[in-house]
Amino acid sequence: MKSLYLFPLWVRLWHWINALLFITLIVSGASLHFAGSSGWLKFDTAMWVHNTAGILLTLAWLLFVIGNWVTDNGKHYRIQFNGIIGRIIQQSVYYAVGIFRGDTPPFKMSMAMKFNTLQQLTYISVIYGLMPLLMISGWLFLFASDLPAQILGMGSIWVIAMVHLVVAYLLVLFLFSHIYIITTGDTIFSHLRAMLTGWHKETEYD
Amino acid sequence: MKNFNVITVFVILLGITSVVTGNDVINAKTETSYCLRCHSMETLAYRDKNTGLMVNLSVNPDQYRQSNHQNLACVDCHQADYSGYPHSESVKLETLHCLDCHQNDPKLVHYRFEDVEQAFKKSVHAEQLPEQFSCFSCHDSHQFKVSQVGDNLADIIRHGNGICTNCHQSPQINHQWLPNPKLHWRSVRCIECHTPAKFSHQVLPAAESTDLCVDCHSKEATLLTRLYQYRSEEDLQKTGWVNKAVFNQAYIIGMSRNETIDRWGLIILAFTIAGLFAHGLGRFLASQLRSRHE
Repeated sequence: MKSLYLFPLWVRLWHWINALLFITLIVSGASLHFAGSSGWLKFDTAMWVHNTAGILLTLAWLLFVIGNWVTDNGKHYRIQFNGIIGRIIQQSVYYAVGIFRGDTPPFKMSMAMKFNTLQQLTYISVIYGLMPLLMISGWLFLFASDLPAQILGMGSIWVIAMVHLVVAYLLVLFLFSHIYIITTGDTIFSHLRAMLTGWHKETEYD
Repeated sequence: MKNFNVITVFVILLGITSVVTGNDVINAKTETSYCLRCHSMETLAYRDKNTGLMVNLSVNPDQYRQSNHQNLACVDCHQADYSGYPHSESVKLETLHCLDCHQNDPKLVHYRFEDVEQAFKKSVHAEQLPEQFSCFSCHDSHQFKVSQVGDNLADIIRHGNGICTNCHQSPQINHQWLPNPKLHWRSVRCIECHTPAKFSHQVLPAAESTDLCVDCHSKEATLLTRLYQYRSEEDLQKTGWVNKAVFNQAYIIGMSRNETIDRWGLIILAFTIAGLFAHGLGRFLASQLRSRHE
């Protein structure tokens, strides 16, 4: 059995800090959003917790983007357009059918590429699409006084609130899907172990 | 000779003193301090024979010196003949008006006095009691101080609501429907609900004022923006950028709520979780089945 060192320490640290901040932001965000009915955190507490976690999330995100830029970890986020449709279909069919039949997974993790195409597109959308939208809308809340009163005939704060809300829901969806999809490795906990130790153990298929 | 010199100096000094004193008296009569000798008395007032109401003539010197009009002398605005005492009856006819000074003033253009005037004319006060209401009914120009960003928000609210409760002395009777009314009165000004969002001087009749929670606590954009931006700006001025980001007080309960997004967000989330659970269960059962066959 061969082992690959796919997750360097800085990536693992970022991942788990990010995970902690996500949970903190979801709990405090829901406490603010459903104030009076969620009963998780007190409104006054949730305010500074959410603000602080949001600022830390931005810092962590910036460090991750810089890390991807200066190390070769960024290569996992470069889309190979050649044959992409075929790979998406293949991976989707595997998740929909093959996984139940015990088929050999169509994608094999390697030092050159650790994500299958569906994972890769999801992570790119989350890290380079949804997270910036979430963070920008969050920061605009904090400095709302510098905004114009209206955007497109609607109150700008409300527009920002709705963007923040929709993106937050999408990221909660991502979090649940992510937690589930990591159980689809060779064993239920193999991906989780890899993100803790850095090492991915390869399974030999017949 | 020596005595002559002493007398001469004395006479000259006396002359100078009397000239200076004479000028002072002439100037002093037009100076604020001269007026305040009487008008700073807290109880200076008279009862108007026509209306039967007490007319307060007292000016608090400390508040006056801190007001926006602190650099104006009394006579800059009060130009009737106040030279004699008691003042002549004619001074009662003197009418003052904010726009007399503030119209087309380039320094004050952002206060939009002309718009304020128009909004006031449409207010319930001006429409129902036009004879009794003027700017000065609510704004005492001897102590008026415009709220600045960075002032304590609670003080601004207390002062603003104090103007209303000066006449409307039992607001709780009509606000029993309002959840936690005391918290509302500490947190927002009466005019947030009792004026249209953009025209804070167009005080509305009670029936036209908003009683919809969602006007503030949800999507009604203009009102939300007005409240939220004010708080956000105040926080920024008070605490600086870092503290502002961490200890931002600009949240309004329910501000981000949207029934449709919440409903669909939670439905999709529930279906996703159920789908993931079903997928996992399917994998488990399929693997059990496979292992039985092997």
